[in-house]
Order: sequence, then structure tokens, then C-alpha cells
Amino acid sequence: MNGEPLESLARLKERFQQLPGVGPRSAERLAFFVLREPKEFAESLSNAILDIKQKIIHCKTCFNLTESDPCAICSNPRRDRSEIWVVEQPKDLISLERTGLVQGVYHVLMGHIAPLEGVEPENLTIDALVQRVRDGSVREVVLALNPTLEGDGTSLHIQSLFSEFDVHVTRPARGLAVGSQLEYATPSMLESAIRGRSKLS
Amino acid sequence: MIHPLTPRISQTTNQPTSRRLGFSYHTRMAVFTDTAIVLNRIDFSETSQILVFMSKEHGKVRAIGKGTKRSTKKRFAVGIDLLEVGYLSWSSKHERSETLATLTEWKQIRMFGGLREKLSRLYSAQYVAEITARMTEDWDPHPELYDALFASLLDIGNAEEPVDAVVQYQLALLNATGSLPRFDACQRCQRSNDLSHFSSFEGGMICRHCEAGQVEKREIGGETLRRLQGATSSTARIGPFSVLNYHISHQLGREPMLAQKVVPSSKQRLVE
Ligand SMILES: [Zn+2]
Ligand SMILES: [Zn+2]
Repeated sequence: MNGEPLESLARLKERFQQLPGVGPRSAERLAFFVLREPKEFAESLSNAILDIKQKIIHCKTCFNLTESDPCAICSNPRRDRSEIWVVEQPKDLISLERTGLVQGVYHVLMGHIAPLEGVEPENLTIDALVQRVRDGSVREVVLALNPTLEGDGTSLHIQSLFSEFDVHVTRPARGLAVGSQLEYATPSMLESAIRGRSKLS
Repeated sequence: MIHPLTPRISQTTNQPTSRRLGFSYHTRMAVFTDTAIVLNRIDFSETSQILVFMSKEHGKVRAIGKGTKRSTKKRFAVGIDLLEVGYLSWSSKHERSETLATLTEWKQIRMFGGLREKLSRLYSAQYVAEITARMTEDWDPHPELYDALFASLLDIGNAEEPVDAVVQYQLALLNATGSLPRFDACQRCQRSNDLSHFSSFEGGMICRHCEAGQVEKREIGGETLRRLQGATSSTARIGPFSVLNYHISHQLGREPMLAQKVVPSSKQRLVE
């Protein structure tokens, strides 16, 4: 650009570039777009951005993202509080919720145990989960973590914490993807499917 | 150092077993393929990861996996998990290139399912992966170490008490990287009896008569020493693990992150 540098434009471009998946070219296009739009657009955009930081909080019970505490799921009287679905991230909760099949409530761990990255059990919301199970009449804890090595490690850790509790610790079935072709399944999918085969009746 | 513009076609690789699939003059990128084990994966962006592999014939490979974390591409749709074994293809400017390679394909061959059944197995396996990644160099082939790693993950996956399998691997790794301590003789006077202390700096045992002159040292118990000298009848586990972990920590400049998960420091002891 010739002439004097437009400092405020450069600053906005720099901010856009910090967003995931936005490179320098896209950042520039976005910045120019905001510049061209009427002032109202810029105001509503910046307000929307501020709002999510000010209004969205973590539910103190399940740690889901919410605008009111407790969240809509925790405060719904029709949900089964004796069944807790444990997930790593709020987006996992959204996926499960979308199925419409989960009757219970949730608990978001906010990650998984990863010793190599310095993430220890105390960095997650595991203590709060233990407290919920200790306090309430929880019958089943479903460990719906990612089926990765870290996810499985976190599940084993949580399971060990509940060994003296009168609670069923389960995890969702794993193995072949429904609708896929067996010949294209990976060895680990096949291994899980073979070990976890279930009776047809 | 070979100039990057030198045509690679005529270049003989220093590894006769090294397989290079193709070479494009257009991009000056060479494609390599090998069997490998995933040692580590670090999130790099929303969709990409940096993956660290131990390959059978090319040693450690670090490659960026574009789309391996959250994939829009079908070939990485299932993701790449830690400690699985697969066929690895990657492209790199040339062999021994110091720039990060690019992962082009990963086809899982197997996983070690037993590791996921017990926390002690999982942590032991992650320790083994961590020390492998940190003690080896990129492009430094160690087929024997790859085999030892594979065998170790199998053993750990079946073990009631995995520490012994870890000790076995610590020895194999130190041997492969040329830093295996000497446990058979005093490193100061060469005597083979009265061995009482281990010194990482001296690279092995020192005897009762020489130990006063060495500041960096740890007292070693008889059973621990017997195990480290190769006696498989020895029942010592924690001692040998602790000595080798101590030595590895010295080589690395700090203790491996997973060491405390294999044997907590309150239980680590050198006298056994
Ligand atoms: Zn809630
Ligand atoms: Zn001596």
C-alpha cells in the first residue's frame, strides 16, 4: 500500500489473522469488508464478540457452556440425574445431544489427561465429577471420551476413582462404523469390534 | 551436506534398505515410505498436527499432518492415534533434510489393544515412547531399536506389572544410542568386584575404593546390579528402572515427563 500506513486497518487485519484458518489474504479481505460496511455492522459485530465473552459462562454443575447457571440441561426436570454422560469438550456434548437419545445429564471434563503436555487430572473437572457422584443418587457414569489413547487413559483414571462407589461405569460401544464397508475398516476398528461383539436377540 | 539442488536420482542413499518411492523434479520433493510407530502428536493448528514417528528404516521422522486432527480429507478421516503401527509415507526435500517433512499417507496396520486396559500399561508405554522420541535423532536409522520398541509395546500390553518390560527397553535404547553404561567393572580402576555406586558422568559403576572421589553418584543394591548385568533371574524391578531412568535423565538434562507415572519418585529407589 502506498502513502501513509493505515494503522487501524493493519491492526484489524492482524486480529483476523489470529483466527483459525485465516491467512493474511483472507484477513485483509475481511478487514476491507468491515471498512466498506456501514458503521452499524461494525457495532453489531463487535457487540456480538463482546457478548460471548461476557454472557457465556460454564455451568457450575456440568461445566457446559451456558448463559444461565445451571444450564438448560441441568435445570430440565425431565432429565435423568442418575445417569451422567462424561465428555471431553462442550462440542462433544452438542454431538451427543443432537442424537436426542441421551436421557441423562452431562459432565464436561474440559480436556483429557495428557502427561506429555502437562495436563494432569487436577487440571480437569474430575474432582467436581467425583463430588457429583458422591453427593447424588447417580446410578451410571458413561465415559463418552474420544477413543484415543489419551481419552482411554482418562477413562481408566476416572474408573479407578469410582472403584469403591456403588455406580456403574460404562462407555459407548466402539468398532465398525455403521454404514461403512468392513473391508475398509482399520485394524483397530476391527479389533474393537471383535472384542466387543454383542448378541443379537 | 549435499546441496539441495543436486539431482537426487543419482544419489545413493546410505541405507541399502531405504526405499524411496518417487522423486519429482518439479517440486524437488522426495517421497519416502516405511513402517512406523506413532511416538507423539502435537496440535499445530485447528486441523493439523506435528507427528513424531519411529520408522523401521529411517529412524525418527517428524512430519506435519495436514488434516490429521480434524479432517476434511477422507484419507485421514479416522485420525492417527498414539502408539499405533502403520505404513507411513512422507515427503521431504531430500533425505536428512532438516525441514519438517509432510505426511502424505498413513495406513494403520495394528494397535496394541492391551495398553488400553490398564493405566500402568498405558503410562509405561507412553514413557517408552517419550524416551525414544527424546533420545534419538531424526534420520538416524535404528532398525534394531524399532524392533525393540515393537516388542516392548507388545510385552507391556500383556504385562500384569509392566516395569520389567520397560527396563528391557531402557537397556535397548541406551545400547542403540551408544550411551549404555558399563555395569561389569569400575569405570575408574576397572576392578569387577566391590562395585557399589553408579555414576552417570563416569558412564557406569564405580567401586567402593574409588567412590569417595566421585561427587555425582548413587548407591546401588546387589539385586539391582545383578539385573543390570543381565541376570534375568533377578527379581529387582524398581531399582533397575530407577538407575536407568536416572541415567537417561542425565543424558536429557531433565527427567522424562512420564517417569513419575511409571514409578513415583517416592517409590523410586536405587538400592534393592
Ligand atoms: Zn449444566
Ligand atoms: Zn574402582
